Amino acid sequence: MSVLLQSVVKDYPLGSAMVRALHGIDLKIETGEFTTIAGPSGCGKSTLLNLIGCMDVASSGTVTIEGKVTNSLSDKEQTNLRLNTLGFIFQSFNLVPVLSVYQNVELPLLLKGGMTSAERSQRINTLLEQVGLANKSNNRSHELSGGQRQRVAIARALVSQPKIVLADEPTANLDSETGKTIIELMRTLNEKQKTTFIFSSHDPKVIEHAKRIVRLQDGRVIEDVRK
Amino acid sequence: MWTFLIIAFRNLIQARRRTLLLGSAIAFVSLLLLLLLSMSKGVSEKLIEASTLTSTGHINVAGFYKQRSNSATPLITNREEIRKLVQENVKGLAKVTDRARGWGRLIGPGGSFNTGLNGLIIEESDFLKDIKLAEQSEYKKDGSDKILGNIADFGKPNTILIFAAQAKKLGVEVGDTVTFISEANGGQTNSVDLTVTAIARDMGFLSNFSVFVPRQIVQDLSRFGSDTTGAVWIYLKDITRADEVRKQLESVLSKAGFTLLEHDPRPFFFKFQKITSQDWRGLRLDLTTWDDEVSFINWIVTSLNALSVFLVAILGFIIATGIANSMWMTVRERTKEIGTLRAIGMQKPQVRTLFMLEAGLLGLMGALAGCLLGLVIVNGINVAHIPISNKGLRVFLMTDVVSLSLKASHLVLAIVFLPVLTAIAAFYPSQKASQMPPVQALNQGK
Repeated sequence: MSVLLQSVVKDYPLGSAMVRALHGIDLKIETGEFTTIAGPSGCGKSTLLNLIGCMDVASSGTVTIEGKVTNSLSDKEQTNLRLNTLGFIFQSFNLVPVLSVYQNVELPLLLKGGMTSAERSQRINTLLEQVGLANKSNNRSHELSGGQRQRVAIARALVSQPKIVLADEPTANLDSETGKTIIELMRTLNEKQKTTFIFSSHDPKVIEHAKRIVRLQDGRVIEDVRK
Repeated sequence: MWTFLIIAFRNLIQARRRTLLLGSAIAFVSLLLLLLLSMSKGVSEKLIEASTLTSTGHINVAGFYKQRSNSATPLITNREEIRKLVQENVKGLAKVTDRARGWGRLIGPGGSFNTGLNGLIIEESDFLKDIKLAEQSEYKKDGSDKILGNIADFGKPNTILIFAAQAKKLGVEVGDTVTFISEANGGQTNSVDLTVTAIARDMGFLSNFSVFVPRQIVQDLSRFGSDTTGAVWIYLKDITRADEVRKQLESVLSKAGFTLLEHDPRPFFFKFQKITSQDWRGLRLDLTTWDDEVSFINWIVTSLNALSVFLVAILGFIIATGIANSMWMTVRERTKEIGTLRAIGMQKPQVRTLFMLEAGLLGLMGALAGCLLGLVIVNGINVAHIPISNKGLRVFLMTDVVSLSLKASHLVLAIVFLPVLTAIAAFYPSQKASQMPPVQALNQGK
């Protein structure tokens, strides 16, 4: 099992009051699944992804990633889990603007260490070819279109061969045609590499590509459908 | 680390205007630091050059002879034995010589003054090779720019070498006669007429207190024997060993049967009162280094160093504040980037390093630019031989042209100090950046 959430609650302070973003979520996601967390804005999609991605801590309940309960991990351990087990794709791409395409993709490998320059080069070039950016490796992000930037972000998320890739609204900043291409690319990589993909979206055209749809409303799972 | 450097460097390029402004300020501080250090070193070198030429060896074996308990004469006997012991025991010895010392009044047609009389052993004295003679205009109104007199004539019977300011005061030039009146060892007054054979360029303070004659003249005036002298002067190949060799020599002389005074790091003429009040008779040796003999004017170098430290500290503080502010802005502008880096697996200390590296790199680039500019300016000033027109300043700086001495260690100091300072200044903002929870950083940066 890739991800296990048990009775997960997340509260946020809002002035002097507390707002409950997630109400006791129970969720199991198996290895290799291509899952979307669907629902309208403010339903708790991003909060749920942040908890799975070890970027935030649940107020109560447990989050288990690849057998590790993340609630009790130190910041360093959580960071290591993100580096070694998780990959991230952001809505607004979040590339390091001063680095080239190649260097952006290389960054997680450099943080991880243990690979020679030749080994890194081979893996990065293969990935850039898979996402169709082999000829853009020396370009900086401002020289790329939105779709191309998101492809770089996908390559960066996959380069360290994570078990789980989390994508928060990966197509929200793209036109529908490009968004569709990006989702198809993610699905192809999911099928080829058996990497678990969990992405959030509120766009029905994107959601329909998922093999499993977990629908949230007001911080609760209201539907969980496998196609 | 290479990727961190690329990120840091490119971010500096990206924020071009800010980098240029802060980099220029750092370069200015680096330049000022170099100019102050090279000025201080230049004065220090001139002080060593002037003092070891006119007033002291690297180490001096001097002393006091007390005939009566309430008197003190600054002379030593057994000069040959002392010189032999020095030759045999001092490692790294460059040269040994000795100077007879006298005190009296020098009288010329235009005036007179009290001065020390230095009796040189001509054949042993590098002084005559190193001294620079003055142009006539330096001591005579409407004089020419010609150098009159010949240093080779010094050493002939009854000759004297004086400095330009002294010649002006006495109203003499090369070839004129002056009279020296001194009190001999027995208390009677002796005098001698001397021909001015050379007039040397002034060397700041130190050239005010001395005139130079062949040793025989001091010996005749003071009625000393040939084995008596003022002080044995020892020159080392490495002047920095002076204090170490002084201590070693104290032990050698003590073992050879000489009685030594306790080390007193002041010039011999400051010690008369103390020695006169002591109740002993005979000869006691007093070993000093060049540093001790010029301690009364060391305040010049100390003041320059203090001024340098003060100015650099103030400017360094301003730079540090500027860097800290700039890093706060950088952290605010790049909050989303910090969140992204933390999300993809960058640890907190790595985030801190990334920002501190950026500040350090800015410091390094500024320091290098300042050093480059400093090298050009210092060399330019030295090549231009810029004269110091102010008389007081000439005395204070012990040179008549602006003389700066830039050492490799000064460059290393600037290149290490400023990047370290900027990196330290960036520590707090960098630390804050590293402590930002990734989800908060990502949300703030949206």
